[in-house]
Amino acid sequence: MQYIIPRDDTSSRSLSLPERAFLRNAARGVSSSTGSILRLDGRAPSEARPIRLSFSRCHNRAECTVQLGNGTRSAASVRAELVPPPNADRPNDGQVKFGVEVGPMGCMGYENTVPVSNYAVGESVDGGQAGSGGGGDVPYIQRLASNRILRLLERTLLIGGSIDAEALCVQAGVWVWRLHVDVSLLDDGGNAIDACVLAAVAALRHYRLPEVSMGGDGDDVETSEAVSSGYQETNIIHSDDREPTPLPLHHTPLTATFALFADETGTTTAVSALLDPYDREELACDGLLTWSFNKYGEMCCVDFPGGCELRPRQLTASSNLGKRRCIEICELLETALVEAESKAQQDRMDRLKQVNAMRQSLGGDEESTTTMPANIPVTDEDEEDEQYRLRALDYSSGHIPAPVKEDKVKKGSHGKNMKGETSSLFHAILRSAQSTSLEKPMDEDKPLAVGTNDMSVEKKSTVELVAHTVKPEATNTKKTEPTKPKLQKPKPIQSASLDDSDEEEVVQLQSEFTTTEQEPDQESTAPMEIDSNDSPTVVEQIPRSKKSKSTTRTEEAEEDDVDDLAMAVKKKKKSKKPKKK
Amino acid sequence: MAYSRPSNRKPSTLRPLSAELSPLHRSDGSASLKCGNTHILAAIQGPIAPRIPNRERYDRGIVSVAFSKGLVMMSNAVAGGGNSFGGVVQDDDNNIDNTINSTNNSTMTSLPVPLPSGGGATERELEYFLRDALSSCIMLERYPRCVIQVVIQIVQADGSVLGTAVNCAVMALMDAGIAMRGLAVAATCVAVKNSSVERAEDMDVDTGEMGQNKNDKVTVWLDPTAEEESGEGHGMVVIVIDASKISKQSNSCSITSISKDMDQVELNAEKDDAKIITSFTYGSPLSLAGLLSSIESSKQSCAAFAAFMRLAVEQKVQKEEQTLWS
Repeated sequence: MQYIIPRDDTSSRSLSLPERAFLRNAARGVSSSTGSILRLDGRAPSEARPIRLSFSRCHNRAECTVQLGNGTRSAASVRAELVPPPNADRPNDGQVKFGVEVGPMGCMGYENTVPVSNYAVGESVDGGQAGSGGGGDVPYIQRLASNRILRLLERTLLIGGSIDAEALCVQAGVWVWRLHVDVSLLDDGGNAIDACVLAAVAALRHYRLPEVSMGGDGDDVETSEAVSSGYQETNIIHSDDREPTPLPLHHTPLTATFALFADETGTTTAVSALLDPYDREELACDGLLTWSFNKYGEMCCVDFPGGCELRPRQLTASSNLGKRRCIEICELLETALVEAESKAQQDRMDRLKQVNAMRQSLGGDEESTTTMPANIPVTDEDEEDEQYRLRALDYSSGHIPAPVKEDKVKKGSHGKNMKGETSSLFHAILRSAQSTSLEKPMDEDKPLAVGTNDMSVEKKSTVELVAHTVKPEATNTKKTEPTKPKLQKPKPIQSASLDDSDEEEVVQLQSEFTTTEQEPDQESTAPMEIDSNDSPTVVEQIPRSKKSKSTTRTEEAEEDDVDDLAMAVKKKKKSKKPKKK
Repeated sequence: MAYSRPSNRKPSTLRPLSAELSPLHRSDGSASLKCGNTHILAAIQGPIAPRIPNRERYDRGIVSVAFSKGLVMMSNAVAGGGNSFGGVVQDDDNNIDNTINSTNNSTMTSLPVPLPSGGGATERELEYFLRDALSSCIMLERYPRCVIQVVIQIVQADGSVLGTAVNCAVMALMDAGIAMRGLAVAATCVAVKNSSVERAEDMDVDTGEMGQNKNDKVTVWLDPTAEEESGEGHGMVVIVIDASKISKQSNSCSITSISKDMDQVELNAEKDDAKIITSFTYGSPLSLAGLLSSIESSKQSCAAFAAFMRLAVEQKVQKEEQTLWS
């Protein structure tokens, strides 16, 4: 019986001493010859990771997922309910309730605990529902983090006056809106504060408050009776029937967080501030400083829980940096929201059209029902493919990762079923590749392809070993796959016979991205085949096409759902390659 | 043609599926599964040391499931307010009751997943259900004294949430590389009683004959949306099947005979027949005919979904191959 050493979460909450020393020296600029600050992921000290926003909205709910770089991901959702005014002193004020959850999904050490809010009115916090209690300082640290996010949200949005509580009133003294904003940290890769706040604010901006109809507004006698008896029929109208309204937000505060590294020896008071720290930097830093500005450059909040000493001049310098960064994110958020709004409107139109069509077809004649299906499935499918293609290519802000698109699965016919699935994804990629490959400059790639031959030769020896071990397993599992022959359609690339369909599929996918390159590659790799084994050929082609891909930014879209992040910031095109997984 | 289902599909058609493996990086394995408008995110940490030492078992591992709390309160609104998507006119009365009730008890006494208000399952029960479903297919004896922690986040809920959560958790387990002896795939069915069969195509299921033996005919819809779940008299069942054991020859009816008054049912237990791991019923009561026809439908649905899972994992492996070995 094999013995497994159970892992615990120490790796996620502490660093080894050498790693810590290395990070700190790099961050303080001690180790480099020019004295410049270095970061382990190659960013400049005031450079942040690319942000990806994705929105969704339905009746009485809006969600936003924020991803910072590859590591940090957080989601927020907003919904509202009608309640009697919770505060007797203020019968016209609505209420906003924030909930922040930093759970075990974010990081191994986190637990199912709930942060404590100062403004939890009339709610009993179920702290005892923690999934697995346990002692130690881990839950304490985690609760600190979630508390910090919660209080930051409350301070900027509630106390800071960006949400107008009085505007949330529906009927004075009778009904007000209570907004629930729930933020979850899905992945903690550092700088959870910025991600959570951005998600919450973005969701609030994207949310639309539904209309309310007050019953009995025809007859005055009835309404006064109803009001006096304490009950009046109030309905929340569905968002498809009546257009909902945006929330009354005066301004949009966003945050920028710095990790501070001070000199431990105390000889100098120089403090390095790194913008948008990732998880290692957060663990090694002395303190975290968070600034909150809105797009007008007004300061909404400062959060500096300590950790190192800052001189006033350093504080103001970092505030300028924070202001610039917040304004940047504000603009990014605006563009993302505009696009999300148009998409939501589009969805709503489609839904209404579909409802109308269904109503017509259900209530119409037999003839009309038979003519409808002829039109609808075809156009829907084409439109769907078109939408898929456009989405896959659109890497402006608000980009949604192009999913593995599946057609509707029909029961019973498995062979046909698989073909439907793969061919739709396949065709979509094909179409998008064909449209972009026209833009790609041909000449640029060919010399590059030839040039990397030497490199791949060296790599071949090391990679070959791996490919050999992978291959037998692959053949065992995939031999019975009935659908692989279908993928041979577009290009019979390999000169030698391929018995492993898995690797052939790899090659096929590559061919979509680099349609013109494969021919010169073919001739050059033929003499390289030492043995009849096909794996070296396959593996070599991958690095080659990878290299060429990196030169053309337009191809990034196809890679996007692979590992790279789409550039959410239109203005700032990244000069170096984004971090690959 | 316009089908009788509100979501305008054939009874045996699943919604469009889309999956992404390893979206999260701090977790050992994660999967994001979208089934139509239902979007579930599952994260696996494991095998790790348990926090409470007396929870660990010396001979095998433990699966611990947690539904992410942040979304629990969100689901309440969805459940009470009917469907979140689908443009059919809402039943507005639901909203009133919901809001008035929720002012009194603002703690989480409501349902963790958007089940119809008659469901009555609590968060714990669903977590235990998931834990049982996953424990039976993971080789826990390989991980003694360890915990495999599963966290489920409901990003969007539009029907079939529990079934999709099971599938998403299984994909995350595959992503984490946890040793499994079978592939648990869930299918959600809703059994609709209808007095007359409208079209012959609706009864694709083999057991249509069986339904005709009884006077009440049952149509089984696969993969219901929230709107379909909340219909009157709809009984839902989530069936988790070990998809690695499904035989390739489908359409072999496993029910050989049913006595006239339905108190004796002979099942043809073939050696390579689908193995049902567990099931969960909610909603209105389900008739036996409905349950049996649901089982038949689930088998096919699970086989199709297993093929989809394979595709998703293949894509991930290829992606890794490109990025890690380039």
